[in-house]
Amino acid sequence: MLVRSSCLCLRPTRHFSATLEIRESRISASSVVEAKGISKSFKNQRVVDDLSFEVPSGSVFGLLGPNGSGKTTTIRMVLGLIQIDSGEASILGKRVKLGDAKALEKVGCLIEGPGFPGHLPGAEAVARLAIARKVSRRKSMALAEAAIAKVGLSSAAGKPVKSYSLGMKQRLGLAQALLFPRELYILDEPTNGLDPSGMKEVREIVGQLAKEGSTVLLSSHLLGEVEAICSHIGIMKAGQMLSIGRISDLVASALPELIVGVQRSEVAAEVAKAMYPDAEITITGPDLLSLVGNGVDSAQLNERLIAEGFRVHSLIPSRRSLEDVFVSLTGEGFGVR
Amino acid sequence: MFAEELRLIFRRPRNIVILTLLGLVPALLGFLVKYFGGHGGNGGQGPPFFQQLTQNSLFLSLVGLVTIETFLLPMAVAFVAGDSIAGEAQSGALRYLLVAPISRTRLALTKMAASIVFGFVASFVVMGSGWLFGLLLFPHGAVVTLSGTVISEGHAFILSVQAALAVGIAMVSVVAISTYASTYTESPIAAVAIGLGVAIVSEILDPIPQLQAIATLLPSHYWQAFIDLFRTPTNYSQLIKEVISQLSWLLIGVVGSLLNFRSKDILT
Repeated sequence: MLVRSSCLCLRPTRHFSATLEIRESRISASSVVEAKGISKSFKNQRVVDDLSFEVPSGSVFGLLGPNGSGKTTTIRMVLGLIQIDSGEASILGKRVKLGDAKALEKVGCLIEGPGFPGHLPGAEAVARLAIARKVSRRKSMALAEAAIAKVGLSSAAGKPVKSYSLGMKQRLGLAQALLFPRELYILDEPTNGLDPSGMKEVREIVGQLAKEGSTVLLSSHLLGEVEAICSHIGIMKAGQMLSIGRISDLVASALPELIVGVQRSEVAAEVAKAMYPDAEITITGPDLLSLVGNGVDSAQLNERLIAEGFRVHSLIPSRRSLEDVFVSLTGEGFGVR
Repeated sequence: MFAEELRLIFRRPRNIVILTLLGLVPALLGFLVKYFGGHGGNGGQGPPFFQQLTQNSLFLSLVGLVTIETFLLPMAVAFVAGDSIAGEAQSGALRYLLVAPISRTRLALTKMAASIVFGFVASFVVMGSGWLFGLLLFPHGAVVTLSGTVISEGHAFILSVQAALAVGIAMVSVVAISTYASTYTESPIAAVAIGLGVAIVSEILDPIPQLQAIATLLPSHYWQAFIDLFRTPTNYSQLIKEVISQLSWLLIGVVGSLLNFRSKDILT
């Protein structure tokens, strides 16, 4: 309740498809994060394997992948928190070296959840990170309080972090990422532990950051989330990038599906097969058929089925979602390595 | 950043409790000796200063320092220094400090310096508490030194301030070792245990005759050097060796911590 009462100081929600278009038009060719064949092993297990990708400037880039696919390890390497075994990465044009702090001045991040000393009040725990950058204490507190207000946590700013709920800690984690205006935000699982309204607020914050001209790299396994806010995605599995590009292109590249509700679906499937030999046809229920492929014409199929004496209940052309693309690339089930 | 680290240490409830308990040690000793003690009944044996305790208020702070230096103070200091980096790693705050960004070198050195300050503060808390309770419990006036000479109360007070400084310096090696351990683990308790363990093992090994050859290298070898301040003439040679010994351990701690911490994968 306390959290929600002092809600976001952002502009009213804009429709996301609208912001997405603005964003896409502004994306330039230069990249803010670049990885060239980076690898990382822990105890002989290769977690990231010869990974290359670029995050275009001005994009909202979603790094997707099942649990254990190497997203967080990749982010830690890019931030210089862990050594890159082989290959190289650069961030905002500077080559990443372990522990090299300079490249990170213009980067705000949330890495694998929040982390604060529990006994400090929220505002001080965040201000500490500004003080570490030699900002005066007074100014740091002001910055911290402004960032905390952005995530709707002002009323709890004076309470020790250990008294926070999971979602409140996550909000505080976001607040520290927003402490300074930056060119790049790297947000690892930003909506983790948040309630639906919190998730919506994160979406709005990310939209706002992108509108202000920053690049956002976020990782998630919430596909709906990514589909709603990202302009670009990279799909990872087993430490490798399976697919990367504009989200619209990726989704468009997936074959369309038509779901047909028809009696005697086994027999109807034969008819459909004869009409569209290239389509992948599956009987998904006693009265349900699924046709996946290009060139399937629902009206034509309907006419033919009726002519053959079938009773057709429904014809539902299904737009392939990111989830379908994701599952077709990473396989069914989230296998943790 | 350094001021912020000090705030972090001195506003942490746990550390305030530790300092308060340390401060109560001389008070407790004073009460026990005053109300239950005989008059130096063990014929000149026992820890230094205890015999003189009832004669002059100033000795209570020295008794306090002697008492805490062997175990309680190293433990308190190891608690803070061992927690310094491992604690941040455990809470997850370390990664946020590093990407804030702050250089690893600066972070480690700042943490170490703040822990050293804590050692001095703890030492002065005991000295100050001893001084205060000494005045309350025992007579004050000119002080008879361990050599039997008499010095003025003011002079004796200055010497006891020097004693507290010496005890603070003695804790530098504990800070160095605990911080070094702290860069290796995400478990603060493990780092504390290593820091305290090294101090205790050093104290156990120190008096063993067969190990005399290496005794001077042990971090705790010169810890009692401050007692010389209360002999006439005041002999500073042991204290100088103490400073050199502690600075050497600090150098080892700094080099070790930086070598490890600067190349470490931060996984928490």
